[in-house]
Amino acid sequence: MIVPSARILGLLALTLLVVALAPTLRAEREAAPAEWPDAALDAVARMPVQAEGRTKPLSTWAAYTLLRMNHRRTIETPDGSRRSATAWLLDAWLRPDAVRSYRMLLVADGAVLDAVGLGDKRRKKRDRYTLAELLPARERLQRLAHEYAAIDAKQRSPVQTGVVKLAHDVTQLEWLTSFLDFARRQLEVPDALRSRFDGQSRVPVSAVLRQAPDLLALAGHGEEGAAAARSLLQAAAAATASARALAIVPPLPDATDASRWLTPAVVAQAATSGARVPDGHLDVLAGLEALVAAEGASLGARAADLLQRTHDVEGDHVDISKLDLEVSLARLDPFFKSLWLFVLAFLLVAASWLKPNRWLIRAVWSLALAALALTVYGIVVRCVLRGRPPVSTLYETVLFITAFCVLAALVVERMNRQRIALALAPLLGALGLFLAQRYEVLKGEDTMPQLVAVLDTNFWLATHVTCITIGYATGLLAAALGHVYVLGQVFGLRRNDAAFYRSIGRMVYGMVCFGLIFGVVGTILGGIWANESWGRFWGWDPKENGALLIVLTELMILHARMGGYLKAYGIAMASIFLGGVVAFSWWGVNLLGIGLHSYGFTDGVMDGLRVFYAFELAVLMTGAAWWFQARRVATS
Amino acid sequence: MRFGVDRGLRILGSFGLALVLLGLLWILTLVGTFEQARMSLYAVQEQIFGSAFFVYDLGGVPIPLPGAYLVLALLFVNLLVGGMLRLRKGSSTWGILVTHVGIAMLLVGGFVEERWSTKGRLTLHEGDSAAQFVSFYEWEVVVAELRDDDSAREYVVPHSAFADLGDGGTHRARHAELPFELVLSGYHRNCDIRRASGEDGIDGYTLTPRAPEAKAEMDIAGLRVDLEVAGEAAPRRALLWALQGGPYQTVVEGRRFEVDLRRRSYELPFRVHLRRFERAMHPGTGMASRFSSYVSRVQDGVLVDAHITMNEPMRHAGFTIYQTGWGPEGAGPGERLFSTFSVVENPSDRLPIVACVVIAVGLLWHFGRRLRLHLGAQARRASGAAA
Amino acid sequence: MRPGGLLFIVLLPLTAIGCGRSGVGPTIGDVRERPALEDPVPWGLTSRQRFEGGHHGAVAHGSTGSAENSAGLSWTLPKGWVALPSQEMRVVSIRPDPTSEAECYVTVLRGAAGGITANVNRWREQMGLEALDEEGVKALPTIPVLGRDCVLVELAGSFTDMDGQTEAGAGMLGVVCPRTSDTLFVKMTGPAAVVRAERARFEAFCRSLEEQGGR
Repeated sequence: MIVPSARILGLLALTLLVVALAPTLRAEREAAPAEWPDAALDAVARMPVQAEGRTKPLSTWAAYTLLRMNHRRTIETPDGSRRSATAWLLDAWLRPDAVRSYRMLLVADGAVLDAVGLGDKRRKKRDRYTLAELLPARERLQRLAHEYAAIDAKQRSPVQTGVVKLAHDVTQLEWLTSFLDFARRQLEVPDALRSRFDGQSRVPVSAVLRQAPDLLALAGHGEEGAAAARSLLQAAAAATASARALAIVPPLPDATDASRWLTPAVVAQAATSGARVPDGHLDVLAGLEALVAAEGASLGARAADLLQRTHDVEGDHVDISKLDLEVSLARLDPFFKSLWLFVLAFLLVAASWLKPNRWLIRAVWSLALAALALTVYGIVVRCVLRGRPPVSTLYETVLFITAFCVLAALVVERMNRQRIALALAPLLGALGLFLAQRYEVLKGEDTMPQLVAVLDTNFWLATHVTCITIGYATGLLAAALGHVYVLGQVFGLRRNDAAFYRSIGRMVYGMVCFGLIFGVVGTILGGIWANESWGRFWGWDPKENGALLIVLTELMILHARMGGYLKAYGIAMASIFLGGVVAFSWWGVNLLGIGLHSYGFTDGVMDGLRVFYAFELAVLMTGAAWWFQARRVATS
Repeated sequence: MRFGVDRGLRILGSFGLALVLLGLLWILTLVGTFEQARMSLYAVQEQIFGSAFFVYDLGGVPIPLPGAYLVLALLFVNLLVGGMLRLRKGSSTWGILVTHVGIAMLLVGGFVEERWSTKGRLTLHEGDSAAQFVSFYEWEVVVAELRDDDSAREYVVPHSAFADLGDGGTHRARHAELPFELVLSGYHRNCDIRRASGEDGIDGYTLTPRAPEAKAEMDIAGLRVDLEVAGEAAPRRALLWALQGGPYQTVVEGRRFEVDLRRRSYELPFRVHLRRFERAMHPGTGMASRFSSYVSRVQDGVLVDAHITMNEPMRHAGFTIYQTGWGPEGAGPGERLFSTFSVVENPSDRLPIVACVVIAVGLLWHFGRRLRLHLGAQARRASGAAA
Repeated sequence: MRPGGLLFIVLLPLTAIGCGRSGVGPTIGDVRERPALEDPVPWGLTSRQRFEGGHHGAVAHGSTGSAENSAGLSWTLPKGWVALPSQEMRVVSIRPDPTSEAECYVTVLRGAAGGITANVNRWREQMGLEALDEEGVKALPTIPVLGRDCVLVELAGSFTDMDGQTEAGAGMLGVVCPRTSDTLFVKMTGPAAVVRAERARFEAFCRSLEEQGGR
């Protein structure tokens, strides 16, 4: 039997990693915006918008909208230049016709287009389309989407899901490109009313809205000019009717829902139906009109002015103080940068296997620590932005588990200096952040969503959720170390170095123990939380069950060890199994009861899990085969 | 004899038994998770906890499994014998002992909750009050004798009297003050009412069974009641259905009686008054960010105001009242809202928190000690190697 | 003996599992007093009333505004609703609140205006839905308006995206009320979620419509 050396293993690992990460390594971030002045891009990026219940920077909204439609954060224009999400948004506002010919609506399966009568055999099955290409089928698309939307989301076929998503994307893109149509228009002032507008015959919509109270009063009396006032108000409401893509105007002071931001369409509607709309709110609309009218270098100043106007709007209910921090976090992009640092660190580790060197090891330490620091910084800023403990969504578990695994691996390395945990740290870091990256693309939505009411409790999020997540992380680290142990034995790594294996065995055991503490405490805390929320300690919720499965697995491992049923090798094998249980609890339970075929997120998770389980099964079977063979050799 | 007991204890407290039981619990948990994709949670729990043994159908392959009750009870014995009684006591096992005590507390808490807790629902409109709550799953048949002022004396036939009359059989209920006997039959846990002609129906109607709902508390029960009045040849027959618009009404010997089927009700030792219900939405979405009820509770003439919201129940006199829902769905501003609470009386309500602390202390002590010993040994080895 | 005694104690829970809940004897034990109900059930209910009586959940709500206009109609505005400046063709236009994206209006057209089925299908078509046949229209729920049972149509032309977020697409409520010489329409359009939420008030508004002066 050929036994690969550490050297070959190193090369193999390197190649695998590069192949695995290649798709993300394409530089597709922060492309230079070709034409818009930086000042304009900066101001628009920092503009507040309310979406999915949260007030966030326009750049965040643009990035996730683009990610959902295009599966990328940037976009390639027909002339081949690459534009950032914010630049794309400005394009959509100011050059809607150009945007209608951007190839940016990703259709995952051509069958979706066949369904709406646009199928084209010459196009790839998965391809990007322009809005202009899809508009001819709009009626049919919407009609089908209405029909399919009535079907429960879990029961929809892939094509039905695709149609619903495409209809949604088309509608949103249409609204976005017509968002500032009102700002490009001038309304005709009837003769009878000219004196109210300094004699002008054509005025912007915002000017009419400023006069709305007077016009309404006029319209209410049967006097001369009543009809003219009515028609002018109606014209203003009609002109703004399409400005509903973005809620960028702060709430009205007297509104029943004082936290709801408004679209220009709603502001105009409120003004023309007699609600009190303060000047500051209309100033935002006027700012949009000025932005459209601006040319060249003045655009930056206009955009900055618009941003200032949204900040100046009357009322103390407007909390946009954290927006700039969010913009700066997005610009720093710490998770993407740490992904690179981890990859680099792992390359150096692999290099050190080829040719051991103290300086290489120091470099690995520095890179891994820098990447960890960057990741932790990102997590901390997210906590500040959301005002929540580190983990409250599935996406955040990925970040937190990654950071915790790296930290724990580095601590273990400090304690036993075997350079095993040191190699695992950057590998797990890179894999984890890669996963986070894929998650964002698959999900295509803001990773800082609002939480449902029962989750609105920082105490339980901080205790139960954090404990469980640490439990996941340690379980995974134990599994990773278990792989090193089993695969090392199988491939004859350091064959005669018993101390080496004793050391890894102890690390696996230690991680299982550590995981058990957090798993048990976290699971019981979960029960207590459930008892506080719903009055039952254990509700057989799949997520609860998943946590219990982890705890039971760990308990079995420890009792089997105490009872003498498992020795170091068996524990390593069992910890690989434990990794599978963690994966089930972490991702698998989310797929229960969901049809087996759907595009997008669940499909991606399903595929990932399949690959993972196939790999783990192969490792376990190889490990078992090796063990039986070794025993036969030993007994004969 | 002595020998036998020792041997029995050794087996009951063995690692092997612990492993088998943990493994079975693992499988039961997995089954309980997957089955929820197929059937209601209530049905899953009934299957797993309902009997000492059951047969799980794994894609056509029948697999016999012990019920969770049996496994948990044996695990408790195993824990007590192996993890506490027979455990070598000493500084090295102190943490383990404490942990096992904590786990035993959890199991006891679960057992107490299962046997002696009462759970139900209380729905109040703003401005209303109530001193009782109703069961999620259980029903009762009530015979009310009306007085002229419309007050009544109620005779209650409990759920347990008719719950198992689904597959035929009757239950007879009587009371010395009632001029008739009740014969209950044809109970359906979930059913519709349909028109039926001739012999099939009772006064033109019949109950037709439905498959249980995914949420068992949505089931609508129904049954048949025959009133056997002394001296009458045929019984007076009636159908009771949980969604009926009013009770069955009849006059016997000049006395007015109503027979009704309603959710089993429990008395609270205090009265709850809903002053105001508040819900907040995440702006621009249909997603609730918070809902909470401002209530007053009155007991023995003493009024205390309280606030109940998600994750913050009200505890009083052994009862805990939780915010669980509200309505009507899609209510607009100014509409009169109602708030739905879960009410639980659970003697072991607080036990898990204590158990959690005990377990955490035990585990931290034990593994902390192991880590300290390990690091100490490593340091000695390192210094030995250096020397 | 000591270990045996302990065994007995620990096995106690096990034995408890064995015996189920005790059977209940034929005699009713639980007797309670009930005070008179605030809203007593009328005496003499028939089976039909008990099983087909239906439940009237949507009750007209406390109203603030009431108005009347040239079409000889008067109505009561549900709480919170505001009437908009009058527009041609419309008897009245109303919004649930000034910033709402939903709008409700009443129109009156001469004669049968094409008939109920044609009008219902015109609306369905606007919302991208298939047309109904006569039978389908007959099966629609009705609501008493101006003393007649009128067809009530609720349509959701919007769709919910994959994350369950309701798009502000169209929802619609409509009532067709044929009168002797003309047809009255009450219609509400707006984002589906808003329209759905306003349904009870919409119905209350429809019920509050009255003809003035015996027209």
